Amino acid sequence: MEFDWYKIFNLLDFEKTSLVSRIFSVTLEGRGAKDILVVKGNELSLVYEDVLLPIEFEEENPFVREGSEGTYAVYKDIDSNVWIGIEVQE
Amino acid sequence: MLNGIAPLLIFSFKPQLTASLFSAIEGIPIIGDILPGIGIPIPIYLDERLTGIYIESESKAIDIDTQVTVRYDGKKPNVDQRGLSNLVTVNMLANRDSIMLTVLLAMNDMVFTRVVKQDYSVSYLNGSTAVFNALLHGFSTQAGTNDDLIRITLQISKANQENPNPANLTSQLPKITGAIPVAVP
Repeated sequence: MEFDWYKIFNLLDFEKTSLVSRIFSVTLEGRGAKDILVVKGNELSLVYEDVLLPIEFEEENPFVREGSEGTYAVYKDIDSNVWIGIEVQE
Repeated sequence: MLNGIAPLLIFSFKPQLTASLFSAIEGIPIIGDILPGIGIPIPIYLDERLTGIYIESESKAIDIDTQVTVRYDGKKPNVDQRGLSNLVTVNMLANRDSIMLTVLLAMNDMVFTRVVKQDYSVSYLNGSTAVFNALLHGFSTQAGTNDDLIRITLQISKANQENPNPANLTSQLPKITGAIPVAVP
């Protein structure tokens, strides 16, 4: 599966803020303005288009989940940057 | 009163310079910088005797979005604020036969065609309320059935004068296509 990946935030910087949640209002290239909710529960997760994407859930990296509008993924790289992925529709 | 004899509404429209004229004056010191910004001011006195338009009531409102995010370590919450609107609302009454009412309607129609470029400004002076070079936020009129008066509501926004929104709230993110993102070093 191929995804369009966008780097949203750095996990270590976010954890230093001690915030429970935060909304990132971003403009994704080719997709326009979107709001991405980052929320800390048992896992730190992203919510995009009503799809919950826990980071490294059950050690899956990237973690992929299908939503009603498409397939999405979340990936943490070696520098702890968190990326959101949207499957490329062929 | 700052406005003098009566409350004053001023519409100002920047001249639409042709490309050739603009390029001719662009390099001239001072004039080249000032001339494109000078507007043509059109004042409208809001006085029953002078123009048949007078102010019934006036209000000001500021709307701020406050987002509170708690921290799980017990420290004080993170609070983000941004300004949503800063409006002055003027309710006016006008005589149906007033010529200046026709002018006021025409001014608002002209503003409507310039909202994207924002090459216009609205100034309003009434006693302690002084708004300079603001933007039009809303305009409506309503004719009464039992009288010959027109009720006018004019909203002026001062959003272009302050910058209460964080500059980097919305950022353009480039995409990387692949099975996993591999950042270009």
